Parts: sequence; C-alpha cells; structure tokens
Amino acid sequence: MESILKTAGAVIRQIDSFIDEIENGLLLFREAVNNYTDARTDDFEKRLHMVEEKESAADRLQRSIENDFLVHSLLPQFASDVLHLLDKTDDLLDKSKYVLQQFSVERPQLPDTIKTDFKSLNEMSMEASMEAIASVRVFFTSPESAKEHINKIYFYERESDRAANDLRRVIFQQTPGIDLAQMEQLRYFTRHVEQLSDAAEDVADILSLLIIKVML
Amino acid sequence: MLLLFLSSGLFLGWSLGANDAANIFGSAVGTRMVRFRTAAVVASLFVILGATFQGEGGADTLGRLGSINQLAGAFTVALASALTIFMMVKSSLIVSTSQAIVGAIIGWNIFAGRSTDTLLLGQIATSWVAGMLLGAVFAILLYIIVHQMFKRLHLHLLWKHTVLKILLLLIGAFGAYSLGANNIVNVMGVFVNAVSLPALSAGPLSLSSNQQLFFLGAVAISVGIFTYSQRTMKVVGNDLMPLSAETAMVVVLAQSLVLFVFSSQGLSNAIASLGLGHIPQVPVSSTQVVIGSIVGIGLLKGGRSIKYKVLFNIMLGWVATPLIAGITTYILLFVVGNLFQLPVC
Repeated sequence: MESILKTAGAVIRQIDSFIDEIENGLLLFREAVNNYTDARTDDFEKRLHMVEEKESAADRLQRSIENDFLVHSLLPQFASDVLHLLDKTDDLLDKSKYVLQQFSVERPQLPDTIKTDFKSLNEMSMEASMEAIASVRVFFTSPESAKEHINKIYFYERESDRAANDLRRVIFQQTPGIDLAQMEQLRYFTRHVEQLSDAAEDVADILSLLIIKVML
Repeated sequence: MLLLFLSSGLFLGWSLGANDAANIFGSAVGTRMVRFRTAAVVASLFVILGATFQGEGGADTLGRLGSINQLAGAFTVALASALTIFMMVKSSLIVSTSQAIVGAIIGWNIFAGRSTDTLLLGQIATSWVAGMLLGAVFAILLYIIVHQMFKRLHLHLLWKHTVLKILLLLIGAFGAYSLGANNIVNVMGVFVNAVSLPALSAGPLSLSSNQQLFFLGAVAISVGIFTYSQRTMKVVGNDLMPLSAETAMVVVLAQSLVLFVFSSQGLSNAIASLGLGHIPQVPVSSTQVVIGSIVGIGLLKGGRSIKYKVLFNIMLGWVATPLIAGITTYILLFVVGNLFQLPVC
C-alpha cells in the first residue's frame, strides 16, 4: 500500500514539473519573439537556448510519466486520454522551439510597419497557450473548473486568427518596398506563430472530452 | 461417502464463487483498478472468514423452515437447487441461490409431509424485497456522501484513483466477508441437521460441526472464485455494469452492508434492544441487491437509464425460482427415495 501511495505522489510531482517546464518554456518563447522583433539578437539566442533546454526536460519527464502510467496501471480507464493530453500539451513547447529555431536560421527582416501587429499576434497566441497550460493544470484537481479556461482558449484562438489575417493584410497590401519573396517569408512566420494557438485549441478539444469522461 | 453426499452442496458453492464474486470485484477487475489475482486472494480469504465465523444466523432460519435430517435428502435438495439455477441461467433469467434453496426446502417439506411455517416464509420473502430496496437506499445515501466528499476534497486525479483503488480492495474484503456470512447457508445450510462432525480444536480456535461444514463450503466458493470468476468479473465489469470506480465502490459497499445487515446476529440484537424488532437472519441474493443499488443510483441521476425489463425479470424470479426448485426437489426426492432406496426424510 505504501508503494502505491509513493508512486502516486511521485507521478503527481512529475506531472507538476512537466507542466512547469512547458509554462516556463512558453514564457521564454514570448520574450524571445519580442527580443527578435526589437532586434536584440543576443537576448533572443540566449532565450532560444533556454527554450531548447526546457523542451528536452519536458520530453524526459513526459517519457517517465508515460512509463509510470503503464507500469503501475495508473488511471486505467483514462490513461490513454491523459497521456494523449500531455502529449498535445508538450506539442506547445515543441512548436515554440521550432518557431524560434526558424527565426534563428532564416533571420527574417521585420519591417517597422508590421512589428506592432506581429507582437499583437504573438500575444494572442501566447494567451491561448497559457490558458491551455492553466486548463491542464487545474484539470487534475478540479476537472469542472477547467471548462472556464477552455472557453478562453477558444476565444484567444479566434482572436489569434483575426490578428494573423490583419497582419497578412498589412504585409501584402500596406508594406511598400518589400519583394514577393520577403512577403512569402513573413507570411510563413505569421503562420508559425499563429499555429501555437491552434496547438492550444487541440489541447482544449481533448480536454473537453476528457472532462466529460472523468465527470461521468 | 460423506463427501459424495456433500458434493451437490460443494457444487452450489463453486457456482456461487464463480458468479457472485463478480458482484464484489467485477467492476474493480473489469476496469483494471484491482488485479484479478489480488481480488481472488482477498475474496477467498474473507469469504472463508465470514462463512466460518458468521454463517450461523441464516442456518438457523433455514433450519426452522425445514429440518432436513437425512443426508440423502440434503444432497437431493442441494442438487435440485443447483439444477434449478442451471435451468434459470440457461433461460437468461436472473436467478438467486437463496430463492432456489428456499423453494427446494419447501419441496422437501411437502414430500416429507411436514408443514411449512408460513409466517417464517413470509418473513424470508419480505427480506428478499427489502434487500433490494435497502440496497437502493444505501446506494443513494452513500453516493451522495461519497460524491460530495470527493467534490470538496479537490483531490488530484491520481490521488483520487489511488484512494479509490485502496477503498475498492478494503470494501471488497468486507463484501466478501458479508457474502460468505450471508450466503454460506445456501451452500451448506441443508446439511446442518443431517451431518454431525466432532468439534475441532487447535489452541484457542475451536470449530463446531456447522463451522466445519461452512468452512468446506467456503473453500468450494474459493475454488469457484479462482477457477471461473475471472471471466465473469470481466463480463460484469466491462459489459453488464460498466461503472465508474466511484460508483462501483458505492455499489459494492451498499451490497456489503445489506448482506451484513441480514447476517449479523449482533446487529440484530442491538436493534432489538432498542425495541425495533429483530432483523431476520436470511440469505439474500447478492446479485439482486447489486441491481437494487444500481437502480438506486440510476433513480438519483434521473432514472432515464433504468431497464425496467430487468426489474420485471427479478420479480418473476421471486416466484418462479422457488416454484421450479420446489417441483424439481419433489421429483428428485421421489427418484432418489424409490429408485436408489435411500432415506430422504
């Protein structure tokens, strides 16, 4: 009996650490994109490196949690759904790292005309992602309360779509002096940042079903 | 020779273990909250303890209904019950060993030309209905308490799972103890007046003749649990009653309490001392109490998912099972008494 209690306690601590790593990684992502937009390249590279470390730590924790769930038959009725939820939560940080790496490799030039809109898109995507993190965290202790966060995820995802469309409109219609290749590249980065909110929406979709299952 | 005559009772015990252990651990094993091996060990151990040390009450009640004093008669009565159960299960009817054995005893009374205590029979029949109703009431109250408790505690999902896992095992142990205490009389009760064994003593432990019979019956139940209940548990847990761990725990606890109420002499005496009358020590059907408990929770949730056909089948069984068992017993007693020339009454 003692070992059952110890295992549960250890896995709970791992889940908490996993969510902390993702949350911290996303906060670093927000700062890194702002650093890039403000042309503070050194700060950007430092934060990219920190995000990469967070992502590796989160992956290690995720593998350990998966292993414990299977070996100790934890939450047998919901195990696959919970592990799928954690996997999708991890996608948020995976995507963040990928976006920052693309910034580091391609170094797109951001014209002054789009910087404010780009930051605004980043904020909306981050809000959706942070609400996803909050919903996952609260789900484990109070599944019903997670519904409030889910509602906000959907709201910020729609706002993110709107902000991305506005930004693309500015890039293609109101930014003179850039060629088509640069327009395409900026559209590509707009899509990358926007995809973070889509990943948050995936978390919300899984969580909505899981809450119903758990509450039955 | 004694074991040969006891074989029909032991077969009843085996089938009780194979079927009724699923009422206790079906959901826990079906949902993989508890491993089958753990469930089987706990269930067997506590069934033996309950049967050996708290099985006497029901035996006394059945003994007053019909005192079968010949071993061949007891064998035939138990065999007729087993055949009745087999026939009813084949017809997909929800059958109770308790009801079969009572019907078989009445069949023996008629064959032997003895009168049946109708007042006692009425009391037994009432307890079958009361068992189901009490199961529903207990389940409703426990569900409200447990649901509110978990809601207020805000336990982490994994803590909740761990607590439920431990509770399912502990309550399962209590359920197995109550099942042994309440239902052993279905298995061995008819042999009590026909078999007299010398008392066994080992240190402070002493086993009377009845306790030795009940121990044997409980071992047969355990064999049933180990050899055949895994399949039944998985069917009950996954297909028949796919309950959440929380609801399963409530259902098992409600069932265990009902079985305990109808088999605890101490509780009956305590209630009597308050001037509220005795609780009859009667074997009740664990399956029907479980169904009563699930219906109770169903009613609490609005009653939309209740299958009234199942309830109708149970009510049909209250009449049909004793009737078929009585007729089968009468025919078998005639055959055994006349064809094999064995004294049956």
